[in-house]
Amino acid sequence: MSGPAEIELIGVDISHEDAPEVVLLHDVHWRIETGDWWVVSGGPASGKTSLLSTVAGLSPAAGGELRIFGREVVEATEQQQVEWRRHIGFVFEGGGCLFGNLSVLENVVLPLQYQGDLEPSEARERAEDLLALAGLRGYASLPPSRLGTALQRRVGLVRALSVPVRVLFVDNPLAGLAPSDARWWLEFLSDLTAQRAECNEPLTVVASSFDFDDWLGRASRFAVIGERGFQRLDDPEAIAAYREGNPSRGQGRPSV
Amino acid sequence: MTREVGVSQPFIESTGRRALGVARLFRELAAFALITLGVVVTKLGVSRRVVHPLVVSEIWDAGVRLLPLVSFLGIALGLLVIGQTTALLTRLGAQQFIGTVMVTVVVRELGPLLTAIVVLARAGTANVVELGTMRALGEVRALESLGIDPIHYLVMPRTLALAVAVFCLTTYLILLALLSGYCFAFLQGVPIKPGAYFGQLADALRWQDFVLLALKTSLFGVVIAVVNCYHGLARRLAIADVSEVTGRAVVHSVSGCVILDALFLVGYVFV
Repeated sequence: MSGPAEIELIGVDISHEDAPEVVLLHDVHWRIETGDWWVVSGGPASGKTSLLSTVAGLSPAAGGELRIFGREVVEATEQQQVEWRRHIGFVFEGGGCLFGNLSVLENVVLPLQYQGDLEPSEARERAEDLLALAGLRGYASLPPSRLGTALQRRVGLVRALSVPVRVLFVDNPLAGLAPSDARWWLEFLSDLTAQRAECNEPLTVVASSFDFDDWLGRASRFAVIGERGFQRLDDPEAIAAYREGNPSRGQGRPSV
Repeated sequence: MTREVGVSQPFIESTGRRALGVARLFRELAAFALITLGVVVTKLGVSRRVVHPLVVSEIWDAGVRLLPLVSFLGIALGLLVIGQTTALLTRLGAQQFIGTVMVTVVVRELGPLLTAIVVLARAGTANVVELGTMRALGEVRALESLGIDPIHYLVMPRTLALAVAVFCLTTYLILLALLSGYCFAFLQGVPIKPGAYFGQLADALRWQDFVLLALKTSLFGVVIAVVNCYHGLARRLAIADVSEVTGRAVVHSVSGCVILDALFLVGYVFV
């Protein structure tokens, strides 16, 4: 255990986010520590999105004890929940669940203004800087629907990073991407975590994926969800054995 | 072979089921309204640079943009109801009741209810579709993930805006209807002078009418906003569900406004 736990699950049951009566994972024990970079692998419909959504505090756990920043979720007041939401970023799968009635720039400005109560000009300036970091400056005035899924997902990443996040959840970011786009994501996340570590503000990343192939050498921790529930893979042999037997390996796109 | 579920159920059982369903809907709507009220009270000044412009924008959509339609309806109401009623009362020699009839029919009942239905049709349904689509596409969850309270960001501006819009549009519609009504009566050759007509209206109006009109129209706006936002947001939706939910929201909004109107009728009798 290298540091304090940002998020801790003790015997948590994970239910489907749209069908709470369907429990997908039983008795999950998981400790996410400051600065960890987790990748959770699982096949389609294995429960990756529901797991991330629950761990991020967006969906209620079906049972067990979920602690976010040291506080149990069910006991937290609304104010405490609002406070920790400011430090948890979530990048949604697919097109990133962008707000369709706002432009790309406004999608990023909204959390900046809402959370920071910034002057409109200041918020726009900061949002433009963030978009430029992700190579999206030229798309600022467009509605999200005019962008392809890969770029929409990048806007979702920028939007999640517009607030001062400590833990970033990224739901299956490489699914369906061209190798160049997948490489961009991996390099962006690597650079981001390195920069934050240098500034002594470590960023914890939790990503989901169909396989580990692209993440090896970048992520620090691995876990799988499958028939036997949630399993941590703590040693290289276990990871190698999983990769050999993973039916979802390489699913959705060619390797980076 | 298909089974017809429910047809063979005893009448009492199905009626009881429906009654329970209605009671559950009332309870959920009341809870949603209370949550909204709590957010309005506690977060009115929070993130004002984001939320206050939304209130203005919603007032524009639900109020200012409806002015042409409400103008048309106000003039039509004057023609259909006031002009004819004034002419009829004059022929019967009952001109002294013109003010009372106008105030009872237009100011207390038709004006507020007609405006509420227009706002529901134009802005309320648009709200259900917009919020239902946002819910179905995961945008509401995205708001939550960013620490943005959907009630604060989506429901509160609509509730405040509709309360203001229905009140202002009703006042405008009533004034226009009373004015155009006199014009049509005048054109029909009804021998009543403007001073006498408006004097009768002024005599028939009591201070309670102004208070109850403001209260009733604002509450119509609140009912429309709360019911529509509830149907758009409160349940998990798929895109295919949005049209069905919109229809249900219209029925429940109209029912809510009529029930509220009936409660105010009691108020008019006893106040």
